[in-house]
Amino acid sequence: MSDDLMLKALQKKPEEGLRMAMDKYARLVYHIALGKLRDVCSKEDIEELVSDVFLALFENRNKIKSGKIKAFLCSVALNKSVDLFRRITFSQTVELKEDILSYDGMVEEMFFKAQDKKELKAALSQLDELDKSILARKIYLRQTSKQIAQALNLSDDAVRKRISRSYEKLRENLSGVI
Amino acid sequence: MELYEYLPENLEFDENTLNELKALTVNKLKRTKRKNTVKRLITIAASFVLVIALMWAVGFENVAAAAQRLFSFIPGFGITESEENIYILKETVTTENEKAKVTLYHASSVGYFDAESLYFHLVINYKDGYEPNSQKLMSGHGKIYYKDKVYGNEYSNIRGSYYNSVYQITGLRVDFPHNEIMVDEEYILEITVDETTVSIPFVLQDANRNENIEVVTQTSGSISVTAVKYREILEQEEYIAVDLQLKGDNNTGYKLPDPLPYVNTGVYFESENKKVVPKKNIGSTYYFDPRQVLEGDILKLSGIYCFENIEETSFTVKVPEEGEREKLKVEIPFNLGKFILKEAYASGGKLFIVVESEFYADIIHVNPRITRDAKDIVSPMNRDLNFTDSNFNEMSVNIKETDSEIIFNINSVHYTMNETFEFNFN
Repeated sequence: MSDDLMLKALQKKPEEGLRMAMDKYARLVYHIALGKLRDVCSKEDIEELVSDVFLALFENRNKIKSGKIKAFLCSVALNKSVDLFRRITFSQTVELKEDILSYDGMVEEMFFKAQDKKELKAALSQLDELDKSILARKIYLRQTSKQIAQALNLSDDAVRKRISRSYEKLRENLSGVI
Repeated sequence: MELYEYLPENLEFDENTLNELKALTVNKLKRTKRKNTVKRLITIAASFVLVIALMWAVGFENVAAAAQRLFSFIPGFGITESEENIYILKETVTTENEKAKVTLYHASSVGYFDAESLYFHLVINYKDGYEPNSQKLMSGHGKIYYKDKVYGNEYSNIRGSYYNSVYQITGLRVDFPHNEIMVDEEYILEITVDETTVSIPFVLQDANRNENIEVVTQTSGSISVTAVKYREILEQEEYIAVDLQLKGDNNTGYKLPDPLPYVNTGVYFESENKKVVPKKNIGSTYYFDPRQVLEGDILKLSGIYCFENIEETSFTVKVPEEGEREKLKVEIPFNLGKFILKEAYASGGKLFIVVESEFYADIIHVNPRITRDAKDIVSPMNRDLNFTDSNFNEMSVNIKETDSEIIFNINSVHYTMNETFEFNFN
């Protein structure tokens, strides 16, 4: 099912289109929410969030441009997850995890600061395909270096090095913007 | 290619979860449509009934004035001018001691019939090497001194979040008797955090009397929100600051829980072709890039997420035999409604409790913090329990072999209100 057909279905038969979109993208949206919220939320809360993401797609079906369904869902899922994470941890002392203080955490923070800026696209284009795959998994799915290494058939060490190199490159390219 | 395009699509996923998600989403969609229709019909009907009743009771001459007063409290008929005093901080204040630098960024007032409250947002930056005790941070409190008067007490608790040597206080409320807050007078805010007391002098101004500050109030459902827009320089950068003050509608008697609820479900400026999101927020003050926000842009606020700390309540449920049902008579009230536990039944090794919920507002999601066996009470989530839908109509828990009865505790309720607000600053 192409995204264009899905968008047409969403606009002409909205509920049917919504089901199609869920068939194709629910697992991805679910994993984005799970990555950010697994330590602070129950399964039910994560499911609530995922359904809210698809309701947002439904409500915006006439505004979304062709070929942008995946972008919309990923962006809304990530922003809603971060939002909920902040709300839940608002009244608590957050336990600092090692990766928050490492390049992994910094690259994520940089992405959030620059996500609405056009310079981010240019900065990302300076990275090679493998680095972008690693960053996508790190930022959207919050996979650990070990999980990324397994999925992409690399060593842990290689993943960590690539993340730190990507961070430095992005920082250089985005200096003055964020 | 953009980053999201590198995301894999062959991630592990249980088909049952997909089916549950589809059912949940379609149900929500139907509920939203139904609620919107019912809400509109009720609003129209209520308006007619009230106006006709008024005409009959007080005569036509008084109807216009009376209707205007009443409409400001009927859902959907927001008011756009605030008649109340809206106090905000005259300027940001910073003070420091040997352990920390404390900045008072924001104070704002919320008025009720019988009292007014000041809410404060402060940021404490701990100095090199000092590590505060997280438990003691939680038990902080604040008072205000003005000449020989003291406002607030040890129950004026502080709520905030600590991260990386920074403690952000976003929930300190101090109550004043009605009409006792003054502008251009020096107050002293005294906060005690981590067993250290810090005094911060501050001065208030009346936002309605400052031509550089715009104030708009909107009412929807049981909630009234005042948006105060002004320019502020933080860390040498200029921002458009918008402070959102929430309060319950005086007419329904609903008072929002203390401390200030979250409002950051969705706050942004919108015009025909763009959406400007805040660069940051400190508590419920949102800071926007002034280069992006133009005159006439409308501020939108969608959804309000709140939590209420309720008096801790325990209830015991006897575990019935498989297939049998046990009647329950447990009521758990909170500010915005109540849960009535109707019955319990056992099925497939799980205990199910059927719950009837009553809400006094349009709630799209509710999440009570319930724990079992008095353990893990402070945890925000408890994975032992499952709520089967977003409005908490049923919950289930695994039955252990040793369980003849299960003791549950509830200490707070989190919920999202289905209210949206638009503020047009002109």
